[in-house]
Amino acid sequence: MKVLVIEDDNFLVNAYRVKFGNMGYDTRIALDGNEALKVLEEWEPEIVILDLVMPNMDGYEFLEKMRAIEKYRDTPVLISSNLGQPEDIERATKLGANSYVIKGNLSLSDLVKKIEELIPKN
Amino acid sequence: MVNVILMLTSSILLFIGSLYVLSYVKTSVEAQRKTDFEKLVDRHVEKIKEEVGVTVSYLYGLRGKISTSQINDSEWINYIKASGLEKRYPNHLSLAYVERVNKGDLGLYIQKLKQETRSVLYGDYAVFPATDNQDVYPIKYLHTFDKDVSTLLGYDIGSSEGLSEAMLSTSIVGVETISPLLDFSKVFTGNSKTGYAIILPVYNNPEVLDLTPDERRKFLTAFVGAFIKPESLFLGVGSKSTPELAFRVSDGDVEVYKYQSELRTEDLSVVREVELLGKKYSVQFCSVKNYALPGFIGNLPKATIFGLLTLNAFWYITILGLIFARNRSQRMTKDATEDLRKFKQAVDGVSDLVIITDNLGVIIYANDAIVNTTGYSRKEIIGKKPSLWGRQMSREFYENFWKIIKTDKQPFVGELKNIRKNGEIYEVELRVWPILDDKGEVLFYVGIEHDITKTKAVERTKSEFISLASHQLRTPLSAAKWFGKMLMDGEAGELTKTQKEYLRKVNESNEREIQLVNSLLSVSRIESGKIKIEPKETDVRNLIGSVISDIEVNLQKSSRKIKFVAEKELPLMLIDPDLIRHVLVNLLTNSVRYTKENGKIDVEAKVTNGEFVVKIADDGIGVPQEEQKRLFEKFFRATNALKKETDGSGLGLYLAKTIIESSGGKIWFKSKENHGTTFWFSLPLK
Repeated sequence: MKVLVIEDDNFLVNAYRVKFGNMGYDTRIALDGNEALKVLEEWEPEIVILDLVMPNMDGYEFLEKMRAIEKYRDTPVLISSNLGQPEDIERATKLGANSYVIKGNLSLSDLVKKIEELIPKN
Repeated sequence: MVNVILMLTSSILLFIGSLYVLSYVKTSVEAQRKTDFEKLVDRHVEKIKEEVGVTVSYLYGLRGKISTSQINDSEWINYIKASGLEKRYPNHLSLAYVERVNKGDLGLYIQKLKQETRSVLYGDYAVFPATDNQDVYPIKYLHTFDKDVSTLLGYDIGSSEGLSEAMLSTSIVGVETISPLLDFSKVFTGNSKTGYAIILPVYNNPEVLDLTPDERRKFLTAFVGAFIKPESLFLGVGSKSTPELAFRVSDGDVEVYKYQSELRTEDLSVVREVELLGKKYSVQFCSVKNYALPGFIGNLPKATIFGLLTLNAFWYITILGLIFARNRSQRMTKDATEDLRKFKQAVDGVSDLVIITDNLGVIIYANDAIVNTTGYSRKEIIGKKPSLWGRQMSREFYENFWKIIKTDKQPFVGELKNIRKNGEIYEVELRVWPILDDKGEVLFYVGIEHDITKTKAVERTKSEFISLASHQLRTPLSAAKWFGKMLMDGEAGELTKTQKEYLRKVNESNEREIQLVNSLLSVSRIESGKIKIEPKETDVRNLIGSVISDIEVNLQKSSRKIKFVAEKELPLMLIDPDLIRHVLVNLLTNSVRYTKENGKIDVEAKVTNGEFVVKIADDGIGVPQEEQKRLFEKFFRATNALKKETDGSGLGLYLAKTIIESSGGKIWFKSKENHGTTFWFSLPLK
């Protein structure tokens, strides 16, 4: 599975790498929205794990731009953020997020379950 | 002031006018009354004369009868009866026929009379000449109303001074004459009757009136006369018809008759000289008591007084009413002006922006805050519309705004952005309401803008802080959590039992930190008013069951038991399931945490009195009595709870209470230290 993780926090990036590596996912990491858009130009993920609070280009802006790209209009996006106010969730959902998790409230195993809900195995 | 003068002047004029009218009416009516009275007197005098005339004409008739044929006493009586005189004037007249008899022929006369007459009255007929005159004048026939004088038959009237005077006079002039007042007491001792005699001479020559008085006397054979009492003479037969008059009749110096003198008043009085048969009497006529004009005119003065009093009273009441109303309105105006001044001073200085516009939205008042906030001077503002500093919202917003206040005539409340003269945008909470007249038409609009720019900025800062805090605090905890879990799950190789034990403690500690951060974030959200209730139809039995299951996972090694009893038919509730879950978790966690080993926790859910009520009871350490009232305070932890568990933020119950109350429900508890605590919360069914 091709997973694009967009996350600026090194510790979490590390955790994603380990867990997704263990899961056997083909994982690419981008540290902010700008970088992620560049990745999208050359590499087409099956799912995007998106943080919201990031330097340069935050998750909302990235999501908006990604959804504007024809081929990424329907690519599942799982927001994984520590923002958790209803208005954050609402905003992300409006911009086209498919699911939303608060990092502090679940483990990576739980997160993997969410990914698998979004991308059912054939 | 002018009005007062006008009122006073008009009142005085009305009063004077009323007096004038009253006096005029009184004078007029008095004059009318006097005229009326005099007419009444005139009529009475006429009547007296008329009746004297009747008497005289009767005497003429009698004389005619006697002149043409010799009559005896029977014929005399019959004639009088036939004339109807007695019927017309009963007891008023005495009539007599007196013959002129030469003293020498007197015996023959009596003898002849006795032969002619049949009445027993003539049995003792005698004549006693009482003068030295050649002729005597004995009464031959008599019709009398008064038995006392019936003995006058044969009386020589020449012996009466008054009568002889009248006889002389009438025989000279040849026509009817009235005697002076006769006093019969001089004839009959003890008889006090007085009266008058009307005498007419009888001649034996029809042309006697063409002769000189002396020649005429030669032909004088008799007299016919009527004796009449003063009352009959002056009262008239229709006396009953003049009850309004009282009068006194004087014959020369002698008062001969008075009528109703006990009723007389000097109110109206007139003295008339009444001439009867050439003789003058002075009659003083007076009105009797309560002499008044008949009908409306008689009551006119009273009616006028009443009318004028009413008019005056009405006028003065009106004037007083006007003065009172005027004073009241002046006082009210003064009060209102004073109130308005105070109000204006108060409003001028308030920090909120206050404007009043006319019904077209043109500003007629703006307070200082408007000037300070918008940057426009009052001169620039008055006469303009508030769009001067508006125009920052969508067209739909303003259309809706005008619909509410102009079409619906309802107050508008909303937040909007405005622009200062220097181009700076500011945010306000705006309230506008129409002031309507009696017919419900808009007179004014009153607008109050509360500048919420700073509040909004603070809100934004708070919101940003919460976001930041969420992110910054949770991120490192998330990393620890994720790595900890992976370690635990053996993703970095198998751990020893001890390593696992230590790692579990690390994870637990990290988890507590996460929960604390979550609670703090919830509190911040509540306090910034950002907590939103998002109700969904919820199966509460499932909700409670799932919370209990989650908690029971952690109870596996404990001997504590949770028992859940719910009514079979629990309705679907319209609640925010995430928030109510939060409450249930908090309450149940507390119960588990503060109950003893082997303790039990009872959960009940049911509907009572139109409310959904959840009860969570434990038999744990309870809350000390003196600390119970502080239980829902933020960060408060009971002393016995602190001893048992150092862990705990003191935020759980505070959050639970806030959530329940925000959802329209109530939360309460009963507790006894060392015996347990029971919490209830209720939620409205709809």
